[in-house]
Amino acid sequence: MQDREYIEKWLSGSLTATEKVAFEQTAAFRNLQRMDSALQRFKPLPLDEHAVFNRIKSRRERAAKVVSINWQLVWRVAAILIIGVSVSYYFLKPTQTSALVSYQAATGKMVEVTLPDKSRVTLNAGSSISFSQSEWKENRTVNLTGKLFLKLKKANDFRLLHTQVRLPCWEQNLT
Amino acid sequence: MEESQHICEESLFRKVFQAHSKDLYNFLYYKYGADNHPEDLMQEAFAKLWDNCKRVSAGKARAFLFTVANNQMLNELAKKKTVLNYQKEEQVTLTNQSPQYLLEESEYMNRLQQAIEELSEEQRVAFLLNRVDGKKHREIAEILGISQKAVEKRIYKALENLQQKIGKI
Repeated sequence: MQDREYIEKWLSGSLTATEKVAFEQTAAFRNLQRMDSALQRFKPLPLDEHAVFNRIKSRRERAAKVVSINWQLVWRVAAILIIGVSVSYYFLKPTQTSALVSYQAATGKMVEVTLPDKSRVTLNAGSSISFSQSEWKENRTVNLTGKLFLKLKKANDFRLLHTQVRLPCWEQNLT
Repeated sequence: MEESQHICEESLFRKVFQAHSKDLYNFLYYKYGADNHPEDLMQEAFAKLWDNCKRVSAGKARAFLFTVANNQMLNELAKKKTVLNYQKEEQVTLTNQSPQYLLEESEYMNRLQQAIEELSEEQRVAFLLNRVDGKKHREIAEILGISQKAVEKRIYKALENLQQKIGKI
């Protein structure tokens, strides 16, 4: 058997007993043996595993802490946002819904307006009306200054508030 | 320890650590040398394992650790020459030896050290895992993620290189 074959078998630990005896007689084996015993001194120095483990552990605990603080922050911000939005909604809603839509006819001009329920209004020159568009269903009220012609789709609950006390007779039916 | 158990629990993770830390450390030491902080690289790999503890069972932990260790990219600029130190023999055993022998011995060790450091990373890791740690070819193949045949080849080539460089003393 060639040296190379012996060495390969020796490396993988697959020499038979007789091969081993034969190989151990060779100069190649003595060289290998010397190298092998010298190699043992290249083993890394033992490690302080306990210290390494504690470093990993403390790093993990630090990371976990940061995460939990972040979650707390997230919840706080979310709570503040929710409260803030609902409070501002509560205060802003009435002013938004009470916003009136108004139309005005300039002097010498008549203006046609369609109310949310498709009723037709013709404003006389110099007259103006206003009504709440968003609350129309609950509050069918039109504020009027001047004169108009109304063609109502539905007379129920309709209210016309006039700045003048005296109303023309055809309007009175509707109040 | 159940093979399929998750290892997030500290006591379980400690067991995994104790089972694999020495092998992983030696592997990183042979791969990168003493000057590239193999201890920190090992710490890094275990920290990563713990971060992923929900997805890695105890049985898969070893493969995970060595995959991470194999993929650890050292900044090329920061990477230092691979230095492998050998332990100096104690004074006590030296006193009996002749000065001639001591000189030869220290020269041999220095040449061996230099030759090992000059090996390619692939050859060095496989060779030292086999000769110093006594790992079987099969185990080395698992650690490196290559075939047993390739391991055999690397070890033999490494041995050839070393013998050439040291010469016959």
